[in-house]
Amino acid sequence: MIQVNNVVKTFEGFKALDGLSMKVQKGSIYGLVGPNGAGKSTILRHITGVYRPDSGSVLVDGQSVYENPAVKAKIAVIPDELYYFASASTRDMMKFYRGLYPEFDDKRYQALKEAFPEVDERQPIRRLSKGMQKQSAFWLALCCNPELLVLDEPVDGLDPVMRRQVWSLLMGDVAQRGTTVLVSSHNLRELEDVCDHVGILSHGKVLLERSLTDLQDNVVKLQAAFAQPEPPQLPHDMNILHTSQVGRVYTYIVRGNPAEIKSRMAALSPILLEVLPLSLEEIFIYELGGEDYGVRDIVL
Amino acid sequence: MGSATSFFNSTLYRKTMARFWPLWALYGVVWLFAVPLNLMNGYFQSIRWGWTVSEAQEQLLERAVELPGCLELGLFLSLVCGVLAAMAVFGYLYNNRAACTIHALPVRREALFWSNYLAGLSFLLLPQLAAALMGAAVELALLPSQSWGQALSALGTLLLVQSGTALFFFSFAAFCAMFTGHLLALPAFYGILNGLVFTVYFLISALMDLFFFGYPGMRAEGPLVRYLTPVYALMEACGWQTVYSDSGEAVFRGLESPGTVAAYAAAGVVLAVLALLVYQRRHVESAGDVVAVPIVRPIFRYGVAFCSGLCFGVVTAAFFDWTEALPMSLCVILWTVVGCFAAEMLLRKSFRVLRYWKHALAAALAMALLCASFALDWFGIEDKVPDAGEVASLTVYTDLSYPYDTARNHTALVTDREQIQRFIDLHRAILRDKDRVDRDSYVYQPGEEYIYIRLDYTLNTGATLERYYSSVPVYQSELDQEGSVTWQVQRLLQDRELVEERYGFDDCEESRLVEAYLTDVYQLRGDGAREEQSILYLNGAAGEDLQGLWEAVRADFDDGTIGVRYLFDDGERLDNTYRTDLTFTFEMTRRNSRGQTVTSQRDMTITLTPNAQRTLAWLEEFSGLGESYELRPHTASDENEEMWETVVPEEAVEDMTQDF
Repeated sequence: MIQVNNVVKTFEGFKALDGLSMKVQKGSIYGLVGPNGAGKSTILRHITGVYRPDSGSVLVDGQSVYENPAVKAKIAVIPDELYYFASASTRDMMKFYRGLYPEFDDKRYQALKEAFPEVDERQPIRRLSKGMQKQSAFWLALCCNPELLVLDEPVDGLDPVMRRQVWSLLMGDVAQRGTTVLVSSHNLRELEDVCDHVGILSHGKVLLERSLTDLQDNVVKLQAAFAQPEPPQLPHDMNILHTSQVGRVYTYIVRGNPAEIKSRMAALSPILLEVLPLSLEEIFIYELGGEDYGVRDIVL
Repeated sequence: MGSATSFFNSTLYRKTMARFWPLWALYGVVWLFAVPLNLMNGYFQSIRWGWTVSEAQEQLLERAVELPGCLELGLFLSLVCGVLAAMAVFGYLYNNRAACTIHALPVRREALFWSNYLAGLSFLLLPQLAAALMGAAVELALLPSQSWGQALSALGTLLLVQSGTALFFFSFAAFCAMFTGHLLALPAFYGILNGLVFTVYFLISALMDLFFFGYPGMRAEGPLVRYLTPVYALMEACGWQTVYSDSGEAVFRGLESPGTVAAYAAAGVVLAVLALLVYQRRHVESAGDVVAVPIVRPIFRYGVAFCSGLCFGVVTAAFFDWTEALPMSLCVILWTVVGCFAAEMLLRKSFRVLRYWKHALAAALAMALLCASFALDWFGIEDKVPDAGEVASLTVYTDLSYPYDTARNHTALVTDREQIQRFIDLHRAILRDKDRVDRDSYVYQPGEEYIYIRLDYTLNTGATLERYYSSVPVYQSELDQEGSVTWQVQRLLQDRELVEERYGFDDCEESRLVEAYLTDVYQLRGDGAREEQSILYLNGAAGEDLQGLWEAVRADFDDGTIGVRYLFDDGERLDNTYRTDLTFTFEMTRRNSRGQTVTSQRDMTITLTPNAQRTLAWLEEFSGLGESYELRPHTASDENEEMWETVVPEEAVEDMTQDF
């Protein structure tokens, strides 16, 4: 659905995107994560056709998205910072979007009224709370029947019930209509629940891009204890991302095949050896640890 | 649903119209008052005053045909509302959220631009059209059918011209809008660009005035300034002229320059297209930047530096009265650097701009080069004097010679080659004497006088060369020194043709002589005592006799016994002239722009002399000279008094120079 090839974008000498490439499969929910300033919002604005890349290409459904209304008509976006016309109500904005998006569905608008009961469609949006403004944005975006939904910090400001409601609606669209969702968020626990693919951005590049399962299968968290006071020397070719110690129990974060790593560790005769699952948040932290991102000291 | 064409989106257009309705509604209300309500008021007020219907219709027709007279107000409205409309419709470019949201919509930039542009233009044109239609309805309803053509034609002119100026100013504002990413910068750019050529021309001339001896002061004029300063050109072009016949009937009503308005309207279309081209290349992320287009940033930086250097540099140098090249140059360069850093702050949105010192250095060097070229006169501006063969005409303003009558200050158009050559000789003599002029100006020494002269050459090529020399000293000791300034001026004063022109004898004779009076005479009392009288009207003489006095003066002038000019206010001048002046008053009639007959008067004053035999004889015969009054001669005390009067105080000099 989305193909980003070597996109470079510079803002007054600062390279916000530095040859970024990524690929999003149709019908997937792709989570874009990365530290602040990694270029998440910038790449989202390229994918929605707002920014023009300095070099490289951004394709949606095989077509360049910049200045391509036919492609942009398939995309709905909910930015981090919402914009609506001053004094405009949800209903006013609905009429506006209805005139611009050929797939806008009036019936769906009426139907979704029940999903967002707290939003008064006739009240100016600026008078709504932040959470309700977000609900209004979801309401309108879903009515556009987009093939691609681009979300930047989408559930920020929503209460837990409404978060669940919104994700449920999105998952429904993905399941029923094959909608592709590209979501950027810092809430990794939430992304972990909904995303099937993840891309980690750092310094304007995609550090890694995999399905969540592959990602979790590629990094192992091991806890081991040894009979001797000092732990044995681990094999040099083992890609250890992080080591920590509590008493005589050592915790290793190791990149590689979990079964192979476990068997190699077992060869060192630990008195305790346990393989634990890694959360997306842990993967994010340890992967970026190798990218000079200074969270390691903060976290540990 | 979007429009089929990619150049326009009806949803966007309608939304923009709906969002900003107060703007165009208010504009419409102004035109509602200016056109239909104005017309109705004219008619019904006449009826209320008890006029007949036909008189009220005449009044209405008069008002209807003069409606385009409000185009000057309309020009101001176009100027202000043009930028307000552009700020409204292109405001989304200046807010990051708005810019990202709008540009994410499935609409091409062409459609975004034209939909918003047309909406903004509609803010101005539709209310005008509505007001014009209502005005037409009023005219059709209240005027007799034979007057419809005249009234509707004027209304149509008003609508067309107003639409033309609105088109231009809105397009110009839209053009400016594409270069900035800051809402408040838009009206600033718009205002500055509207007057940029005028201001830069004015500032450069101010700088040249500081540097060049004889440069005729700060001004901004000429076709380039006029046509690149739209308000200036359109203000002239939108004048509504009425030409009247001798009987006072209006024979023609029309715009001063419809071609100029049409040209600006066409320029508006071009500007709109250029604005689109800029918009297509504009980056959305420039929202919030003072200058949105990267290529324009150096122009902005150095433009601000240049204008700041000129403006504040000239003001500071003038404030401290620094006339030497070095302090003036330093002042201008300093302000250039300040301007460059200020521009950098606006561009970078930060006060920490000292690291960009190289830009300031480049601007300072460029300005230093300019100042050096002025100070060393690399282009020969100061010493430029045309040859007589190159000059088509010369307009001369002079303030020189005594006595203090009409011929002292004079402006004349000189076309005679020989006379032009004499002025050129004087011009060259002043330039040769430049250092002494600088040194001796305003410092009176006995035996010196000061002259003021302005020379406006029109060359055969159509180009002009203007020079003004104030307070140029002339020296009694150099009267016979051939080629000196004093000698050249004396030669001009001895040219009777020039002197005749300075008095304006010929112009006076084209008017009707209505009155003559003497000033500063002695009234003789019955006991033989003399009493000072400031004015004595020659009332006893009939019109024909006054004509006799005029002819006597002319004859004496031809004999060279009156109207003799003296360069110095010395004993010779005092011995050969009276304190008494003779003033003739003439009446002229002409038609003004509204066809009305206007009478105006002009005076011609000539100082009487003991040798003016015919004039004195007439005064003796017809006005009682010698019996009831005497002419007042200069006395020794006058000589001292007048000697001091010739010391031109600095304030007076400033007053005179301000006249230019």
